[in-house]
Amino acid sequence: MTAKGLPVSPTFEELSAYLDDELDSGRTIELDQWLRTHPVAAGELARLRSMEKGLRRLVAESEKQGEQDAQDAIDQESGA
Amino acid sequence: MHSFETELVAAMPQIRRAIQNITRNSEGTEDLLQETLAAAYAMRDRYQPGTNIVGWLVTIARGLHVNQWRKRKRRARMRHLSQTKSLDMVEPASQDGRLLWEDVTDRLSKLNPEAVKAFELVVVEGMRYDEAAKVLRTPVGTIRSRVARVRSAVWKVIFLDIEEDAE
Repeated sequence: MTAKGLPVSPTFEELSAYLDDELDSGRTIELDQWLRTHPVAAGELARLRSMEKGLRRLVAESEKQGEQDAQDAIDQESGA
Repeated sequence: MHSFETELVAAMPQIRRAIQNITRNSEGTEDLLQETLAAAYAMRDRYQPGTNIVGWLVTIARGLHVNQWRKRKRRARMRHLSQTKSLDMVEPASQDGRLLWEDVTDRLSKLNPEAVKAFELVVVEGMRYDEAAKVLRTPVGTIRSRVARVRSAVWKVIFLDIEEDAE
């Protein structure tokens, strides 16, 4: 906290850990407060979070499809 | 007495046929055959002489084939997604809806591979920092800083594009 009781601005590494829910609870509360007063940063963080969520979904879908395709190919070859 | 090598050589015609059945592709057959033999040689201590070496090798070949197929499909799907702009559903990159995915992957390919691995484990696989630290045998603080470094690079790709498009 600053002398005026405001949260200290986070480093990027802290914001990154915040996204990963890896900060301690005290600092997480401070960053929650800081983001409420910094809407641009909050918006960018939300955008990054959204993109990473999409990335996870795409990777999961592609892996699931790849496994299915591979299994189909093996089943086809073995006459199953 | 049958050594591993002797059994392997004797079984080669059957192994080749089995792998041809798996791949349906002569070029792919040779690649898979070589990878299978290399993997089998690396794991030869696990083979019990006199048992079914063909079956053992086919099991290895199938496992390798599934992995190859999975990688190819993943790459193809990522290429397809970037070409068809369907990543727009995740997050539009700019006003004209241009995809950022190629830019992001291009940026990732230029970063420290160990840092990218940490990013993949945490952001894509969903591991906690301490779990990723165990996997990569590195301190938790290093994982935290590596993830942040890669994320920062991704962040710049995303928001730099927005600024440029806004001009």
